Amino acid sequence: MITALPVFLPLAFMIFALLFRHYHGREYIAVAASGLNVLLSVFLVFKVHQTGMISVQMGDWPAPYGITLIADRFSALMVLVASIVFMAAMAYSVHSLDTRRKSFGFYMFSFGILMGVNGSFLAGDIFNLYVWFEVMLMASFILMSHGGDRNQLEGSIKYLILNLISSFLFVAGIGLLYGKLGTLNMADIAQKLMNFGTMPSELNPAFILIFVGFAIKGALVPFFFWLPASYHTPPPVVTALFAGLLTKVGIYSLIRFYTLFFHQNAEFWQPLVLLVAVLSMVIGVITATSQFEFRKVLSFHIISQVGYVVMGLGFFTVAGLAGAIFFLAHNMISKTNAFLVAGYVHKQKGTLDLKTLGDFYKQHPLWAVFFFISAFSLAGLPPLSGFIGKYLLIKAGIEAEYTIIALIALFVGFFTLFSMVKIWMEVFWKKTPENEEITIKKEQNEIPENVRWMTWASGAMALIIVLAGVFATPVVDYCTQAAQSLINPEEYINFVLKGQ
Amino acid sequence: MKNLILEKIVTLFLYIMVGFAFFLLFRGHNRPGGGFIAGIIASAGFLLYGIVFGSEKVLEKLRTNPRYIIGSGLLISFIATILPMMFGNPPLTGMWFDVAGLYLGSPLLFDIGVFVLVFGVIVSIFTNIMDVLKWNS
Repeated sequence: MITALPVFLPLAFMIFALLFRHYHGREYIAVAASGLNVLLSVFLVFKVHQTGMISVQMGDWPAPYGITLIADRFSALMVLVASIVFMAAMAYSVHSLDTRRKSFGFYMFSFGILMGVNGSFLAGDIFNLYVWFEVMLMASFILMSHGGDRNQLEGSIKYLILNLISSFLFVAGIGLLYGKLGTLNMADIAQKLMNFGTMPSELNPAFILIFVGFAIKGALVPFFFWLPASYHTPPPVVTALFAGLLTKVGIYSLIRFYTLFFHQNAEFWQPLVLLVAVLSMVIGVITATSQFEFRKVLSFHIISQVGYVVMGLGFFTVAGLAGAIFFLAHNMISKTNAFLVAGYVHKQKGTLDLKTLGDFYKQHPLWAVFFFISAFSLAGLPPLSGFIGKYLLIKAGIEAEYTIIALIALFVGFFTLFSMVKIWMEVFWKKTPENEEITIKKEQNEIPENVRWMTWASGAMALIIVLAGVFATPVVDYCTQAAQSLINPEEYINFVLKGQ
Repeated sequence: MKNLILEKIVTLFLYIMVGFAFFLLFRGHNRPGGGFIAGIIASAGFLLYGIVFGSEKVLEKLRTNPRYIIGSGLLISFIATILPMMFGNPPLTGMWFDVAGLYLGSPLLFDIGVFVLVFGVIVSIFTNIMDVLKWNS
């Protein structure tokens, strides 16, 4: 029963926001609702940690016929991290977003994204997964163009078209798969594939289409172009929310599909996945070094970081998957917090061009600390969470005898550090260039002067990053257990189909 | 431009289409029909009315903002979704009651919600488009 609640809570908030249009303090209600969502997710994680998996059958129809919502350790952790990211974004928006956007449904559509994200994490049926993807995308299209600034519309057209193509490929793949196998339930498909022994070649087109769909959603090389073209245009809080949630859902689905279906044809898929991972890591990090816009640097880094997760998946050992899960969770939080700091810089200075910024450390030391924590966690310095993630992944790579790939990952880490140091030097340390007078554009109408909620949100995220790095052992244990159940899909299949 | 015959026919047609929509809605559980198509047909009646009289008259006729129609439609479906959870069943389980000889259930409630939601969404879309095009003004 609890499995369905992370989907119903955002829906309830959206109904409330639709029916009560003129009310005061909508931002506080949104923060409270997202806090409730965090509590729910914590409860879900505890429940799942006790029993291993919990599921619910929609409408009480038994498994291969009805729609399954299932939470195993991996998806429960993702729901929890997504809820934390979401709550931080909601709290941050209180003092960072203008009143006009707030009163035109910002909160309603944000909860639409949350609903889609939670649904995708919990879905146990591929068509249902597609529907949750669409819920998430519709809400994100609106948030991307919300407010209607000129460059925002330009970014959202690229975003919209490429994501619609990816949805089209995904649903075409689902159609082919359904035509061949006659079932949509993920556990049932996996079991049928196992019974075949070797994967029938008629299924390859469907899986390729689905893989490309996920690769576009997850911004993997060579399908990443929409992400850096659009992520720097909307208000900072929207970018932070998208960076934390959207691409990660594509990667989550890829991991789920790979462990259940693709790996049964491992000699074809494993080299492909590793190749895509390495290319994403390298190309993402190298293109990021040439950027001179705060949010663009971070956007290109999303591609490289996603490559790490897919690399851990490609190793396909318990250690590799555990590292991938840990890294995914760490990346959602660190990346969001880096974007939150970018939003604060934007609010104070009115620009995010690295060349015109400077002196931020002297003026706002607290925020410099927040940026230091999140950026150097992304780069992988101890004792922050990124170090643990990269350590686990590279160790798993060496153990699985993919030494060259592990070394490439290590070098990518150096380049990441280089980009982060570049932002640090340009924005926080260097003196403000004198000839370019800072003109804080006050066209950002009606953004509150206060920054209290922004500080709390970003500070809490920074604290989580440090804690996840220092007290990593229980989290890593949890991730290892999650990886063990991912690597043995029989458990999942039996649980869904036989209810054990 | 005023066309008396067209106006009379369209007004009459509106009631016929809404009536037919309700017929389809209640027929829907066992035979072709249902909330979605009923919502489309009802809003098609209002669309014809709007083409002749303009979007403001449509909103006057509805006496409310389409936003609230969408919200209440979602609310009705949501209640039908979570109602079984109160009795310990999984969400969306069909629950049946014998109300005065009629055999009614939560799927009907869900369908009514879909009807109201689809109706509200389509009315909201076409009144907005008409406002942008400055239809009949």
